[in-house]
Amino acid sequence: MISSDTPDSVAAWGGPDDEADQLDGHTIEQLSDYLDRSRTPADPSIDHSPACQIALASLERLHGAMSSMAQEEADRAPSLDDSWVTTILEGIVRDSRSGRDIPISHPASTARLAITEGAVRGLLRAAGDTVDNLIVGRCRLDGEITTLGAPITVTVDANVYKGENIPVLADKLRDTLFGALRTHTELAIVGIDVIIRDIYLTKPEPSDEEATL
Amino acid sequence: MTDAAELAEKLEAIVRSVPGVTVLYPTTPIVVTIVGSVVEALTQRAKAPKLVTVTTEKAQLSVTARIGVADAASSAEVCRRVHDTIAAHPAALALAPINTISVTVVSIG
Repeated sequence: MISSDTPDSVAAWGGPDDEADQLDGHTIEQLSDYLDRSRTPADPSIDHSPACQIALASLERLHGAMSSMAQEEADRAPSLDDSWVTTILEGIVRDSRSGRDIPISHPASTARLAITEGAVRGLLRAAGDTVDNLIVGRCRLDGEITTLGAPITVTVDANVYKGENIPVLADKLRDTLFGALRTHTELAIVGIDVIIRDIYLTKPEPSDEEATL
Repeated sequence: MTDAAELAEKLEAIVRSVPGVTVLYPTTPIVVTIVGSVVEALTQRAKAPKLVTVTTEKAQLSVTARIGVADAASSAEVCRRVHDTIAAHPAALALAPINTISVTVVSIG
């Protein structure tokens, strides 16, 4: 056998991911610090890890959403209850794991094509976070996702700003997620359940300058 | 350098050039890569992680790649395109009959 390297098995990718609070050997706090340092000095163990990259993208969006909160709310929130941030961070860690391989069809007998569950959950988080006034907390794919054509249900936990119309936002989120899944996967989606877990964010008031635009 | 290693290098460049592919990730687990890096540091040998793996077993070729795909593309289509590009590459066809081409999308966007 001649080999340029040894290919992995799915099980071999478990490794440090098996640690409940780590992604390829890194905690969410370490990844957040790496983001704060503008990813310098470069850390190959983070840069070469898809799970870490998915988590970093989610963290960047969360930081953006939090910085857009009214400052007063941001100052007050920690003293009231910061469990929602912890819940979202835990969701980012869980969702970024590689998980199962979801097959992609191809007529050639040589083809072994797949997309990881982690990549799809990362896609769902990214797509969901594009919906205004909403932050995705957690995504889950239920069903035999390793079988082509098997019926799959998606469940998404989300957090919304106070005062938003929840049914309208949920429909918008559902449409956005369905579009992303249809573009990138061959999953047979039979339902997308949206659960609004918490409603605590105060939408920032537009400044005078923004209000006149 | 073995023929398989040479082919892996060629295929790495080929896969990178497939429209929609944004990044290639190592085909070996991160832990193995990190341990390898430590060993290389100790032996003062710089070695980049393998981004495309080529093996020949029983005179048949197997290729493995793990890719990131642009959000604006379609992961399924890009994945098939990568397979087809590898399957049609003359250097791959010349080395040995193809047994499997494994392409996994591990990140999007």
